[in-house]
Amino acid sequence: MADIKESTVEVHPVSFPTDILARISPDLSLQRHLSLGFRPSSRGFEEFRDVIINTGDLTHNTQSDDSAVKTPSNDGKQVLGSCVLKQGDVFVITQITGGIIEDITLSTNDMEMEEDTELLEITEEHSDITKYSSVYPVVEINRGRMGACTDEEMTTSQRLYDSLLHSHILTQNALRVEPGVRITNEDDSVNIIYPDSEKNKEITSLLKPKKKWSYVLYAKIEVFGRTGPVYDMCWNSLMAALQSVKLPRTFIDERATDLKMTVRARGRNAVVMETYNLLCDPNESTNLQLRENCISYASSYGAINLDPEADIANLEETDDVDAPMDEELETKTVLLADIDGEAEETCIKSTISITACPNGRFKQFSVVGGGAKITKELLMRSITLSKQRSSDISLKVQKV
Amino acid sequence: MDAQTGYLENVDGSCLYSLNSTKVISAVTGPVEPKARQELPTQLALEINIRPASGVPTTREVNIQDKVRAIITPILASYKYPRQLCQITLQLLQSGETEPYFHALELIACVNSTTYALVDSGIALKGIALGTTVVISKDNQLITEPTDEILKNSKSMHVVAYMIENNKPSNLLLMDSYGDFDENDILKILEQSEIKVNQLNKTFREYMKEKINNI
Repeated sequence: MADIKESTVEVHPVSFPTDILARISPDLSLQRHLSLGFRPSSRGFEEFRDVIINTGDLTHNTQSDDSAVKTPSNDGKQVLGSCVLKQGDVFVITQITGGIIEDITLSTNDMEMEEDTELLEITEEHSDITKYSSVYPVVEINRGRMGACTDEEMTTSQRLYDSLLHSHILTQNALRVEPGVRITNEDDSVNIIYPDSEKNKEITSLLKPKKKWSYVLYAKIEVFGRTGPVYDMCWNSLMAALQSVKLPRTFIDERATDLKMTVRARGRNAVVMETYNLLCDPNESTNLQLRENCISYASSYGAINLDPEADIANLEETDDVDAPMDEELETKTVLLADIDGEAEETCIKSTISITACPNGRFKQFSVVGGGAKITKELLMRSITLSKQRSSDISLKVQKV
Repeated sequence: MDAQTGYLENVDGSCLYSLNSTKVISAVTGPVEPKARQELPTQLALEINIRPASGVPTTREVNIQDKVRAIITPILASYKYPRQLCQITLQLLQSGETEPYFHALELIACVNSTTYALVDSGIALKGIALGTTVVISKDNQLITEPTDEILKNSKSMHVVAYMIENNKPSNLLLMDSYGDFDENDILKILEQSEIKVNQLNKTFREYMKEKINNI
């Protein structure tokens, strides 16, 4: 041992540029930054990235030439509402498209059958959740390569669907189609009557088809330049896009309102088929009715234990001024708002995600506590921050 | 609640678990050789597969898988088994809830049965994970372990899972809430679920004690 001590071994400290160290040892890099009081992105602990929101830019209302008069399809060409959200370096583009489906459970045909009416009443009476609807989101995170969707894309989409459904923002009634009737007058002029006024209601109810339809909304959410978890951005973008949705008005040609065909199926049974040519009005649209007090915005947080060993003040022993701080830091857990960047994403195992209304109610709340212990204080702090963040974003969306 | 470990013969640990009308079989295989892309140089890799009661797995099952993983990963002594794999397969027999709307009951059944199966398999654990579902009804009543009917008419629903170390809940592993609620509700839910998890822990210990005594 003594020999070794006497011989002089020169150890050259290897140093790496900041960005390379961050990739080799994200944990150390993050801890070093935190010990200096800021994050790798040079944001403060509770500082969010700036958000820029633009809605409705990608929406093109259907053109008036005849070929464009068609039922809305889910082929992505007809965008009913849209939002471009930029948070930090990440772009989230949401396009809302729609389709129309026949409402089988509530069709008047079924109502005529007594048994089903009873069944309908039972379900109607007892379950709240069936009164609400959701949109079908598909999240696509662009990483510059092709292939099947990743688990992250699937979970984000599913979480968006669940949160939207249980936030009760969209009712089944808001998506119900109230078709008008296109009437050809004696002088060959054509006009469309919508059931807006009492008088029109009378006319349309006479010609009204027995079937019921509803709109189905699809949301295509594309994320460009992902730098961290994307759920909160996707939710905020979806929320803003939904507020810009304009549903096209639909009508049925009067000649088609009572059209019935007999179709012979494979067996001996002849089935009466009714076909309705539901058309979308190229000029008329209505705003999608959302439940205003349920509009909420999401934010995310992370909790991490500060590692006293990684504290730069500890390394520089000559620095006596900072020495007393070490004891304080030993068991300290800090809350970081708006997780972003590779180091933060990989090292922070405890996360909190809150979807809050500006009025202080919550719609979705999720805590994952794999790393640092999530205390009541941390929860309360994140709750306070989420309310502020929610009001901020709601002001930004309203400005648009 | 009913649990029966060692239900399957060809895996290292298994459990048939039922709670109200939710029923699930969990199977744990491990530590075994992982596929090259799963292998982690320093710790145990974890693979979770959930099979729904009917149909093929969809995004809904992937979402449940993601949450089960978030709960199970912290309880495994993963550095004890470097370059190894633990495979958890969960087959739902009865979902016990309206599948298009909810996943809370299945998630909790999956977590609790996995804990039983993990202990049955003998993989080293840092603690155990147990969870419960709590709903707030329209008249602001807290109901634990709800049925499908209660879920459908609830104001908000919450899934809470705790890590249990040294016989008491030590760390909140997951809280997943949907609906309409405020911060007081959250605190009440956490309090209530901790009491429930303590009870579940007691049941768990009794079950394991009896099992060991019978060996």
